[in-house]
Amino acid sequence: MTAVRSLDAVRTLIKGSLDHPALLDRLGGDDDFAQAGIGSGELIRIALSLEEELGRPLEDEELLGLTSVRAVAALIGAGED
Amino acid sequence: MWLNHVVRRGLDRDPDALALRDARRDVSWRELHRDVRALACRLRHDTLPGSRVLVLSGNCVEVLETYFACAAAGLVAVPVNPALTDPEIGAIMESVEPSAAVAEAGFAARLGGLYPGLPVTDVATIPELPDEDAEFAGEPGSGMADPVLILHTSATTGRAKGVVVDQRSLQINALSWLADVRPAPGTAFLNAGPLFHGSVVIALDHLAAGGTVCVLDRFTPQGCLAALERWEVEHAFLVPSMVRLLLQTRSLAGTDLSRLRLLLHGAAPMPGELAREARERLGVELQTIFGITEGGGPVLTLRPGTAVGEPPVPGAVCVGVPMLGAGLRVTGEDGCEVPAGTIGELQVSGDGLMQTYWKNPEATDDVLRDGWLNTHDLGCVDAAGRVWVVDRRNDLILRGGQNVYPAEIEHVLRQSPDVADVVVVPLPSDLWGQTPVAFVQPVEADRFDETELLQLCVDGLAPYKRPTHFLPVERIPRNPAGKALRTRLRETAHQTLTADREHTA
Repeated sequence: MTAVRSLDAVRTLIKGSLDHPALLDRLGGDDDFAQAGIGSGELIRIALSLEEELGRPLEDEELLGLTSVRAVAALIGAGED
Repeated sequence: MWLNHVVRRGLDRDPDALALRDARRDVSWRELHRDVRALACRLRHDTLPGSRVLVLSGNCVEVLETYFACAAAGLVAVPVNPALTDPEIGAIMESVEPSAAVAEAGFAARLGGLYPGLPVTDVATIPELPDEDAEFAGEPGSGMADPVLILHTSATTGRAKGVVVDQRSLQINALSWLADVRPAPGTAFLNAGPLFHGSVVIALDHLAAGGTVCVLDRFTPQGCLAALERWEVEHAFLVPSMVRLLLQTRSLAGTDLSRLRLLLHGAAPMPGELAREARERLGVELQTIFGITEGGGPVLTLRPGTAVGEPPVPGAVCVGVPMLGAGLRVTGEDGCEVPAGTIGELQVSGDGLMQTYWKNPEATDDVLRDGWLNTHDLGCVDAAGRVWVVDRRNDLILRGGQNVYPAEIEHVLRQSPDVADVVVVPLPSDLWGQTPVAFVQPVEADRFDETELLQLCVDGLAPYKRPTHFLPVERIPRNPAGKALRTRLRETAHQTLTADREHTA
């Protein structure tokens, strides 16, 4: 997966977990989810989507690292290696 | 008095037993006693008896230590949800006028901006504060009727209401918990919810019973399962949304929950199918807790294994019987008690009730009269004396166990010059129970701007209060007296958004 495809795919995946997908359109790859107003409930849904994507449970460290689009992309990339 | 007694008793009985634990620290009763004394001394230097101490922190054992320290020093702890926006926190601070704060280091600058000059103790430094036993010897702390906590709830008027809790309320709640939940000394209890929430009294109840309270720093289903296994938790209190999330994560398959015996649930109705799945897949017994912050926390309970039969009306949920020390009655439109089987407003009584809403006598008079607290829940008592909840009388939205009043959201949205009128109603949600939906009447048809409305909510409301949908309407339907027809709007939201989901699925 290329970096661009990865970010696009991740954005789609994240948007599916948000009440207002438009919130993500304002965020750059490194912008912090919480600072942008994404709530803890939405973060939990993102994590559950990632578990489905990866086909395995997420570790504590991985959960703590779900702070930006790029961080999520990195996790998905790691899951496909 | 009471909270001092709880710590003293733990110290005298088994000082090296575990009182508290989180991911960073294990705290014995001896260490808890030391930390409480040290922080109480520190706070006394900055305050006068009866002063308010703001507590702004994520979950950690030191937050509970702070509540005990405030009681020991004769002060009133005011926990605040860190997810609130600055305007929301500022309004609470303006109301309670704190003399000191205990906060995470990262929030110190935030507090400094909101309330310049406020002395702030870093919550992480409590274990390092100097022990000043001699100076603090013989201090009585606050009395049984003295306020010890002010817990803030969402408000019907657009501003948060502070529920004033005294030590007697905590005492009666702890005794009723012993009678009706029956934790044995040493029972490991998981506190998964936020420690600023009214359910924190359940953690204090377990400490009073000589148990160990395990504090989850923040809820994620994966982290919660890991904590249940790692700390060999026996009792836990969760809201139904948390239970559903536990069942959805892939972590469940690899988690050993053999020590978990009792799952207490409350703050929102537990759907029957979810309860059955939780029993089967988690291998636990379930106990229903009906609580209300204004009632001092838990007031009704349905013990595991109690057969309740069919609901008296479709969709009603059985919440059991009054706990020790609590009274219950159902009243009709005229305020008089109605016979069994008749639906009316549920009212509770007992020494656990709040004293008052902080500086809000009108709101207090609205719910508290002649020793009875109106829960604003509609329900009935069946022939066996069990209580059933049918619906809510007021507009409260219960999202994932947290209360959200439409007025708070409407107040924020009305700040837009493009909004002529707005009404917020609940929408059923499989995961969260309910979520808010905003019907917006723009000043002109082409001035409905969802992006602007969303930004107003991001800036002015904590994320859990944010509407999940903004729906434009030509005119908000109101009756001749000007009252919004909320029931009709609830139905419209349900039909519109359900159809929308089916269309896009």
